[in-house]
Parts: sequence; structure tokens; C-alpha cells
Amino acid sequence: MTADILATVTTLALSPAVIFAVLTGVLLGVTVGAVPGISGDMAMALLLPYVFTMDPAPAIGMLMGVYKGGLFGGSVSAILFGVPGTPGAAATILDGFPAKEAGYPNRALHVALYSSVAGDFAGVLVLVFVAAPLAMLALSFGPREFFALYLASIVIIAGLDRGRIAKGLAAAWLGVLLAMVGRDPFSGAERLTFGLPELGSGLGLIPVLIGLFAVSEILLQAARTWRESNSGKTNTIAAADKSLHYLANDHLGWREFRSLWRPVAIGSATGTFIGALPGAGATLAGFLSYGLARRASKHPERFGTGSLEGVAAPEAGNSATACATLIPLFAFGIPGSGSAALIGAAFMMQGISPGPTMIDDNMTIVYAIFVLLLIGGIFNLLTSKLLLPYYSRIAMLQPRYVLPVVLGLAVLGTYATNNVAFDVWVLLAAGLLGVAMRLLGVPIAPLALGFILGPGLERALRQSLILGHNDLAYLVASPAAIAIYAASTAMLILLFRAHSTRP
Amino acid sequence: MKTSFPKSLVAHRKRPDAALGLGLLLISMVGLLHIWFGRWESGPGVGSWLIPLIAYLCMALAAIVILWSPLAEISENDETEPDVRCPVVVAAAWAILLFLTVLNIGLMVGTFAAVLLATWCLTPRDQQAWLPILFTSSLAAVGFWFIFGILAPIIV
Repeated sequence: MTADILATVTTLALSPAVIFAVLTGVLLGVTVGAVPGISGDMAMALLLPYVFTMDPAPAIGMLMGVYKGGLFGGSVSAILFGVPGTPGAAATILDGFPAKEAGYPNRALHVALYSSVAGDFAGVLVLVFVAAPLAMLALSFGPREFFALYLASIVIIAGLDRGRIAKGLAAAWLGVLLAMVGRDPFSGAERLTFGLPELGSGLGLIPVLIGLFAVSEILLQAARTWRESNSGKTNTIAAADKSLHYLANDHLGWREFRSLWRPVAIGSATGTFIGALPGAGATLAGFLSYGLARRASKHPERFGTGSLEGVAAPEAGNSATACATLIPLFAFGIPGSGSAALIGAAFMMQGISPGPTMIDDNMTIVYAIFVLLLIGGIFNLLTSKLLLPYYSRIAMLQPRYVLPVVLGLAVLGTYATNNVAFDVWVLLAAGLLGVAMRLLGVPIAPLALGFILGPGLERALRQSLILGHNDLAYLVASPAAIAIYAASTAMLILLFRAHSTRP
Repeated sequence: MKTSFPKSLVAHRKRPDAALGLGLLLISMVGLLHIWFGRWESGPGVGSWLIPLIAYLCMALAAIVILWSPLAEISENDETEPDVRCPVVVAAAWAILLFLTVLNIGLMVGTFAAVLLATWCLTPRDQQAWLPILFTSSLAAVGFWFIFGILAPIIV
């Protein structure tokens, strides 16, 4: 039986089409990650209509490839231009850019690559060994425990952004509200449709997610580029010193990288832990890893001046979150971050519901995905090592050429999914909502997570109330539910303190 | 310890925060009135209004905090930047134009025309050259034709 499963998993994971999908994802991820302003999340959102038609294993493998590649790609422009390609690479600038200024960008880029891959492998291993036992534990949960999980996740995710707690909570509940549009799953009656028959089946996952994550960012960047082009200002990166001639002059030796094991280990452990918690994310993991590595370093005074330890720790940290963030998704069906929400959406589009029964019901697919996550890491290492000199050129691509094409892909890709024009209007409405939120300083991820978690939250609450005969005390009359509320409160305090003390 | 910001900067952030708070409060109030007076069909157990009710109440609470909390002053987007609202609307209108031209004229011609227009408008006047703009537009048209005309029908 086990041998049969192993054989099926191997056949599935190592088929040429699947390998090609993962390789394409990694290449795409590093490329878009290297271009400042196009984050891995945006690329994943844009890919949703295209992976919709693929089988689950290559679809998820490709998206994870984009995510992993994007996390490393973000460090390319962070090191070469001092502009993080993705938010997760923000901590890499602290020492990466000074390293480039000091004349060794190639060493810094290679340290970032190797540390990123090491952190990523740590995340995969933890995912493989932790997700299944947690899912088995979650199988014993009833509706009230799931309600506790959903509620705690929404509050933690929304409440983590320093200075934007109220805005995060408002966004999360607005997301839940948007998820209520359409038919009530219990009575079948329509609600919040305002008489529009197109809203009867609810707001589509693809247009809402692409609109929030991708279109809003593209619209804002296009607007800024247009303003710059009219004001005569030049693009920061285009104006930056294109110091590619440094690349030939400095090399990273194996012995030198081996001496960085301590910050890599600290980053990997921190990133894995932070990534597994709902809402924490790659940016926090990067900064926390940097702070801890500086504290543990024999030469803390070198941090901030181009220390390779200061590049290794945040890179290992932010990459370790890539797979660890899937742990709550695989075990409880709760996406712990915006990226995990997009992966969760891809699973749902494939007809696979993330949650405790997912591993049991789709064992071969899930284990094939585990194998593909490892393969994706290896591809990331090989392709990035080979193409590193070219990525610095990609990072200098002019937004005026990229943005119209990317926006066109978003619009036509959304339309092509169902051939429904209404989806395009929802996409643009979600994009404009995202723009308004970004301009007002309201975080986007809580809204997306609220939108995804909303139906589960409603189902769990209403089932609990039916079981408890409408007695609210029933919701907290379970030791597991109480433990979830207590643990999430402790987690919230812990993470809030970590956010407050980041360098 | 309270973070101190220059007065002008706080005023700059507080105005949009007040608008956001008021907007959220207005949505919540209208939503609560809709739940109270609207036609909500009942189902098994508690009605379908329960989660919307909780959502509106939480949004109203968050709006009150945004309006009155000192936290409203500590926003991470404190840098001032030029007003981008009008160009954002223009960019969204361009997306609609692209969609309609592709639907009515055709994929390749529609994409070529729309991308040409966008790259021309986004390029600074002193750097406007036909060759890169035509190259980008043609590449986009061929790429879109390959993705949506060739690749998509094969996959589906």
C-alpha cells in the first residue's frame, strides 16, 4: 500500500509537465521578484486564471515556485539598488546594499541565494513533518473549535500591523462581509445582491484576489509613473549606478559561506516559527532574524556596514516562511498570510478544500506537492546561480513598458477564466478598492483573508449555534476552544512585542 | 512611549483617517439599518443576517477607534506624495478600453493599440521614441495572442 502510494507520488511529481511547471514558476518568481513593485503575491494572483486549467500538482507547484523564487528575487534589487523587490526583502537592504557599496555585490547576492535556499529547505521539512500530525489533531475538532480557530486567525492577522490595528480589523470584517454576498448556504436565499442576478453566486475568488493584490498595485504604479514622466523625475533604479562591472570581481568561497552557518540557522529557525503563525509573514521574519543574528554574532558592530551575516540571516528567515506559512492552511484550512490565501484559493479552484481532511482525501497530490516543494528549492538554486548576472538587468526594466502589459494580462486573464464580462467589472472594482485602501494606509491582506475565511467562519458559527440551541455559552464550553483562544491571545502578545522591537 | 510626528504630517494623515473612519461608520450604519428593516429570509437556526450583523458591528467599532484613537496618528504611510487619484482613474479607464477594444476589434489589434497608447503616455516627453514603444506593443500583441489564442484553447 505504502509502496503504491510512493510510486504514484513519484510518477506524479517527476512527470515532465509537472517539472516544467515548477521550473517555469521559479524562473517567473525570481524574475518578477527582481523587478521592484511586482511582488510574488502579485505574480501569484495574476497566475490564478492560468493555473485554474492545470492539474492540482503542477498548478500548486508552479505557484509555490513563483513564491519561492519571488522571495529570493526580491533580494536582487534590495542588494543592487537598495530598493526591496518584495516587502520580505526589506531587512536584506540593511547590510545587502552597504555590501554592494563596499564593492562585493556578487558575494552578497550569492550569500542571499544560498541562505534563501537553506531557509526554504528548513521550511519544507517542518511543513512535511508538522502539517500531518496537526491535521490529525484538527480532525477531532467540531464547529465551535473551528469557529475559535477562524475568529482567532482573523483577529491575529488583522491585529498584527503596528499602528493599523483598527484598520486591519475593519478590513478583515469588510472581507468577511464581501464573502457573504450571494446565496445563504443554509437557506439558499439571496442576500446583499442588490437585485443583481450576477451576484447570486457571490463575488468570484479570482477577480477579487487579482484586483486586490495585483490590479491595485499596478494602477498605483502606473499613476506614479505617469506623474513622474510629466514632472521630469527619473526612476530611482534607472538613475542608480548600474554597477554590473562589480559582478566579475568578487566571488564567494564555500569556506566563507560555511562560516555563516550560525545566522543561516538562526534565520531558518526563526522564519519557520514565524511563518507557521497566522499573519506574521516574511517581512517580520526577516527583521526578527536580522535582530537575533546580530545579537548572537561575534561581530555585531559589523552589522549595517555590509556584513554578510546581516544578509544571510534575513534571507534565510524570509525564505523559511514560504513553506511554513502553509502549515495552518494544510492542517486547519486557515491561510496564514496573503500568499497562503492565494495558494488556498488555487486549491479551492482545483476542487480541493484546504483543511484537516485534505491530506487524507488527497494523499498522493499533497505528498507530490511536498516533493515539488523540495524540487522547487533545487531549481531555485540552480537557475538563480546560472542567471544571477542577468537578473540585475531585469531589475532595471522600465515600469512604463511592464505595467500596461501586466494590467492587460490581469484583465484578459480574468475574463478568460469564465468568459464573463461581469468578472472584469468586479476585478476593476476590487482594484480600485485596493487602491483606496493602500492610499488610506489600510492593509490589504486582512481583507483577502476575511474574504476567504468568511464562509467557513459563518458555517462554523451557525452550526455551533444549532448544536448549542442558540446558547452562546456553548461556543466556549470546550477545552480545545478555550485553549485556542488562550493560545491565540498569547501569540498575539508575543508577535505584537516582536513587531514593536524590530530594528 | 508615544511617537511624535511633525504637526503638519499628523494633520496630513489625520484628514484621510477621519474620512476613512466616517466612511466605515456610514457603511456600518446603513448595513445595520438594512439588517433591521430589510427583507432577510430565515433559515435553520440563526438567520443569514448573523455574520453580516457581527461584521457591521466590528466595522463600526473599528471606525470609532480610527476616528478617536491616538493610534490613527501612527500610520506607516506618512510620507507625502503627489495626488495620484486622477491618474489611477485614467489607468482604470485604460483597462476598460483595452477590454472593450479586444472584445470588439480583436485580440492582437486591440492589445497593440491599447499598449501603444499606454506606453506613449507613460514615457516622458523627452524620451519618447517610436521604436521601443512599437516593439513593446507588438511583443505584447504577439504574447497575448500566444497565451489567449493558442495556449488557452490547448489547455482547456
